[in-house]
Amino acid sequence: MRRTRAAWSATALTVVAGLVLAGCSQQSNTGAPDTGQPAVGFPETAPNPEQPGRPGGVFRLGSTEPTAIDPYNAQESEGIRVAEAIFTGLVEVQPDGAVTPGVASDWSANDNCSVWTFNLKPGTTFHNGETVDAASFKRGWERAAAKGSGSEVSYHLDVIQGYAEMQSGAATQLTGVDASNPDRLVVTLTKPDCEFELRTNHPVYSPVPTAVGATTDTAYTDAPIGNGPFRMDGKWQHNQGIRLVRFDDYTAGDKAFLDAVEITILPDANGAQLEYDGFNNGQFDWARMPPPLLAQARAANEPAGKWMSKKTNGINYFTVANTTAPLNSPEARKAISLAIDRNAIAQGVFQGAQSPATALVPPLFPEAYQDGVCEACRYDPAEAKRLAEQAGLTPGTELSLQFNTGGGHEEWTAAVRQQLETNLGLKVNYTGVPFTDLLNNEGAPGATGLFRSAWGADYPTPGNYLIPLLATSSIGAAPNEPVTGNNYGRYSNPQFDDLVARANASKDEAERNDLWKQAERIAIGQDLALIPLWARQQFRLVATDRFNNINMNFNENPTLEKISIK
Amino acid sequence: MTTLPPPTGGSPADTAEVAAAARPTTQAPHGGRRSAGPGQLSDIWRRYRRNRLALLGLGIVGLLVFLAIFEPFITPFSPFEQNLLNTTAPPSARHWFGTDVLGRDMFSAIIYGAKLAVIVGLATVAMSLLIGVVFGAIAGFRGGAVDSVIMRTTDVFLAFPLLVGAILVVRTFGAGVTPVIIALALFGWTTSARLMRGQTLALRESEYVEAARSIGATDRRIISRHILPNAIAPVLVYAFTNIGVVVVAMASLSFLGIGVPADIPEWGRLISQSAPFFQVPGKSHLWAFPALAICVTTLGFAFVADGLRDALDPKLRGRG
Repeated sequence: MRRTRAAWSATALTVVAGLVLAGCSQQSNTGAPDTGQPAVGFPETAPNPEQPGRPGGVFRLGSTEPTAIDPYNAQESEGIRVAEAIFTGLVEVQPDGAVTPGVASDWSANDNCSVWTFNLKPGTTFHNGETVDAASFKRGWERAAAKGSGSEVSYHLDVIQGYAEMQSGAATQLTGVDASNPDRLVVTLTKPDCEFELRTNHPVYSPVPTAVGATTDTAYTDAPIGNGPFRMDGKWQHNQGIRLVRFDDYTAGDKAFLDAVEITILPDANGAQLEYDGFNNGQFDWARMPPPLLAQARAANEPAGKWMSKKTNGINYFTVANTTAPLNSPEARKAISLAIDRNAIAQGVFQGAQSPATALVPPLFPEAYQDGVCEACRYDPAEAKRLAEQAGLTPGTELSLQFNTGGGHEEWTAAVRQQLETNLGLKVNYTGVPFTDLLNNEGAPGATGLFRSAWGADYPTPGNYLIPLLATSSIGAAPNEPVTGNNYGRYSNPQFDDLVARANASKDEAERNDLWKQAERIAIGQDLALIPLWARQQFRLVATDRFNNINMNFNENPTLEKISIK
Repeated sequence: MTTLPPPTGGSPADTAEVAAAARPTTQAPHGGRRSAGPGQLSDIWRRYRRNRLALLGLGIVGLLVFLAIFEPFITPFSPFEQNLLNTTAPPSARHWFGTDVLGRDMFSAIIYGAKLAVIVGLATVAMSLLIGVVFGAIAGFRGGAVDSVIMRTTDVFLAFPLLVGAILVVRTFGAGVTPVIIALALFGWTTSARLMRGQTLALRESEYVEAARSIGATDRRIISRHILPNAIAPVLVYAFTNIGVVVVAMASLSFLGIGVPADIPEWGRLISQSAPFFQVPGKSHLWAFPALAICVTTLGFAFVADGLRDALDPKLRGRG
């Protein structure tokens, strides 16, 4: 009996405790803390001014293991970093976007931009002393375009006549490349492209010497013979390092100042942390850092001018299913965009490491960048609600929001979900799927809602944002077929298509930029075919106390060819 | 006249002697009672509470169950409500465990996580226990071809590492609490089945089973009335130990980005989202509290299992 009574007492106590606690309702989790968080993000820093240099010095930096450093397959920032140091192509693109001569002294296109002629500087050489001529370029391009080359970047050559035949194995030469005159390279394209010279900035367009090895020969691909301002000092020591030294007979441009560049290869998992630690203890002269450490790294290094912050080539956005309910009207898409508080997410979730986007074309292209062209890329919940009602996005409407798992997108998408539910009363079906599933889902016929997406241009031109993501031709499928291009939202507007086609066919850069701007005003300003979220921004710590002329180029790498010791 | 088996908790060799020695005098005469009487339970409890750690474990498990039931009333904030103006804040008077990367109250999130852990832990173990006991008993009792088929099936499931198998199931059925329970149960029943089979094999040759058979009891009755009560103890002990494993497995799934949806404050998810902060000074509350919660939960169930093993061990019965 005693035991029974004890059991009853315990139960009663539990119930009472529960009821008492039930009396305390949950508090509202709002307000900023008393201590205050940094109220600003990380503004861009001014480029380091170019100063006269002097030879000497070793520039040291960390890197993850590249996929390839041989230009036939160099693809990510780390691989391209080496390829662009040991090879010089036809043209060079400066950090400010200006196109300057590389091996080519000048270039021109015919009236419809389908045939390009590059005149080559005479007497430039490879690291082994061999002369760089038109045939060197043809050889390099054909090496990458050949069937079975193993190149994952040869598609950059696909505008050249004969590429398809080489890929299929039907031909062994690029019929569109005429190298009969050693000082002049004539290239015939399959379709007009008035910005073809920008494409040739990709390493896959590099020349190679007659002594080139097969793409399967690792003895060669780990120590390629190039024609750039630096040459390999020994082989690429996999997972350890790569050492480059100055090429003293370089004549394709200004000789480099640095004696050597030492790249230490670090593990992927904590590479940024190791770079940061290495910078702090004097091991590296250029370093990334983990995003949560940005604030303290900036505070410690900006006063000394060692902090670099730059908006680069990339945009994070929501692909929007334009042709299916509920987001098949500009009002509905604008309501969604206006209901997202980008600043709060940039500060709260990204700790300032991302900057809210107000356009699709990034500020990397100063002549085409239109700050605020996306009028709905601000936070205005009242206007959002008004537009939502107008578009039939009534409270309770279901909206799909998909993102890929494992890419660090869980948190900010959860924040967007809560904002859409709070501000518009929508029911957001929030789903994380593997990346390949995400692409399949957003490209499937009848896809609806929002999909997390990101894009970086392959060539430094606004057209490489607007056309692949928004042109009708980039859908590449009928409404009942899966999308084959990159226009996953199936946006289609003849007026936009006409403007980008005219821009693409214009040989005048100013006119071209004007047409790009008009096109973006229609697709983003008027139709909001996709929802820009964050502009890609990069942060580095740089040893400006020891080196001059350190800047970040299009591939987010240091401008090694310009850097000089103080 | 008692041809009936002794109550729960004995292996056949000891039953007669130990039951005679330990049966409390207060127990009613054997007028057909088949379940363990209050004396039996008190006996178990007396032995259980001698183990200090087991009592601690019971306290932890009790607290977890309490938190799970009264979660909405205990959490000071909604575990889902974000505050982007106050993310990754350190512990304070307002937010006892600080806030997470979305500004959610960590204390509330940890309590919500306890609820998930208890639900998933108990449901998974109950399911795997049910499957394991049924298949194990049938295999052990029937033997022959039935035994072979069932045991080869358990071998197939055993060949899959728990996490790999669970990942496959969750990927197929989609994210959510129910798929996680199904996945973990599907790959967690095999050990119960093997244990049960071993026990049944030993018991089915015992004299009281023979006796029951001789008076015409059906197989079903023999299994459920005579074998099960005597075979279940080690299986139960294993099941309790396994709850900790299940809690860790669920956290691992979430940590890997599968399992429960990403915006649910589950312990593994909380650790995963704090990964970028592992080396950031002053942000250790982001991973320390959920890690501690997993640790304490696992230990709690392990202590209980340990205490149960001792308490149910007939060799210790009647001593102390």
